[in-house]
Amino acid sequence: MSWKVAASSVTGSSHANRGESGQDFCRAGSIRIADDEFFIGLVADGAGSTANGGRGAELACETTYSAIIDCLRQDGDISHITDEVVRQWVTQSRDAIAAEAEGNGRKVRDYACTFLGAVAGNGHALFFQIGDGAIVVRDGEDYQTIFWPEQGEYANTTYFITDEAYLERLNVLHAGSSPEEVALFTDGLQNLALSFAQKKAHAGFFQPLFLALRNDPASGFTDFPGQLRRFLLRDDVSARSDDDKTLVLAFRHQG
Amino acid sequence: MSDNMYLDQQPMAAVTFAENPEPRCPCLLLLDTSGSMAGEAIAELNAGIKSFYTELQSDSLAIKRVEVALMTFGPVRVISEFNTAECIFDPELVAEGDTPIGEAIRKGIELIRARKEQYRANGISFYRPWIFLITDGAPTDEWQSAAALVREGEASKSFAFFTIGVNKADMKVLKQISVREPVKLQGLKFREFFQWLSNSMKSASRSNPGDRIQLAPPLGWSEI
Repeated sequence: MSWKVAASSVTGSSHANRGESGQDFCRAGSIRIADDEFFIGLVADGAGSTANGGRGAELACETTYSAIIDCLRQDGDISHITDEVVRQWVTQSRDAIAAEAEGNGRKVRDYACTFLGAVAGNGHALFFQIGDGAIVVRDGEDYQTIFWPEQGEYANTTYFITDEAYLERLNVLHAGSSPEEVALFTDGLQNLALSFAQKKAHAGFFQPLFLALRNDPASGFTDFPGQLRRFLLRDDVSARSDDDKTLVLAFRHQG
Repeated sequence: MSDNMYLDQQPMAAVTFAENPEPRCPCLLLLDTSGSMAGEAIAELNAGIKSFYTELQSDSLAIKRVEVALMTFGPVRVISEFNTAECIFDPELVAEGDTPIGEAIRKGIELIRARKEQYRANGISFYRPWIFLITDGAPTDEWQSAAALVREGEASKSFAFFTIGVNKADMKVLKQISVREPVKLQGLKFREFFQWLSNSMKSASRSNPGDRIQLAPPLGWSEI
């Protein structure tokens, strides 16, 4: 069993028009331990109102990515990872953000970002999330969200890893099976990928993307990440959301 | 082979998007139409509102997201329920009656509450509502309970409440009603005020999660 993983992050026109760089970040890949291959996907969205949200997003992803790899190398079984361990990963990332903020004479909240993660392999999976954006997995012919995006009362509010009560905002879910398809994305894609009236994932968004990933030859001759990037920058996508957009796709196959 | 060619070039062409209602950006105007507004003041106010709607209509996003409601006093009347600027609106307000500011605020806050409930029931996300009170006088009714509601609403972030004084408005009372510093309108520059308001609403209606919504400084229309 192995994973095909693709990820792309693009700057939304609302930032690009102001000459700002994007505030999203993602880290995704797979790691082989003994006979199992594990998928690790992390995405984070730095708050638009902050100067360093993008850096916060990067620190959150990189710190937790290393922690997950260390954890799997010690014990290559996801079912042994407790909620407490997930809280430690997130706390370590928040500490790394706080340390850099302090070093630069800034406040932790200047680095505010959402944080979503998925780990899958050896017949198990683990998901966690603070704030908006979503993780979607295939369920038969349908697609379902793991957690619904957590928004505050208003359309421009959400929760961040830098909040005081970040552990109360942290959602964790363990699954006794490994999904065949996993997608993680930031809120820039939320209105295209999720139906808010029905409160469910929009299958028409995910099916063609996973089909394309599935059909992509593993030879490396096609530029799948480039195609994904061009898709995220497509006019009809930008017309629906001027925010930064990040998408991670992972497909599990035999062999 | 041809299949692969197709996939290489257009692998994501078949993606469809979920249809979602636009998030709404509600704005309530509480407008003084008491007798003292008669003449040039009410004419300028009418012209300002008209240009406000025209401005919002010229913006492809604001026209779908910004919802304006109009209430006048006195007597307290709902001139327009919350609605997007898609329909052209010419209010032609007439100056008459006294200045029941207390009642106008209480009914206005109720209008906001009811609208939020409708949004929630329909799965529509929304931004924090703005309330603008514009008056050229002082309350002729009990206003202390209304001021308490404004303080409560501001503290719980239920809405943001702004006051604009015109001519001989009692700025001292306005200061007691609003948590935010009241602003004095320069002469009868209603048009400039509404231009500023439409710009502010356009930018607020574009904000994304994590953005802080900030009003531009009230330049060009206020005595600041």
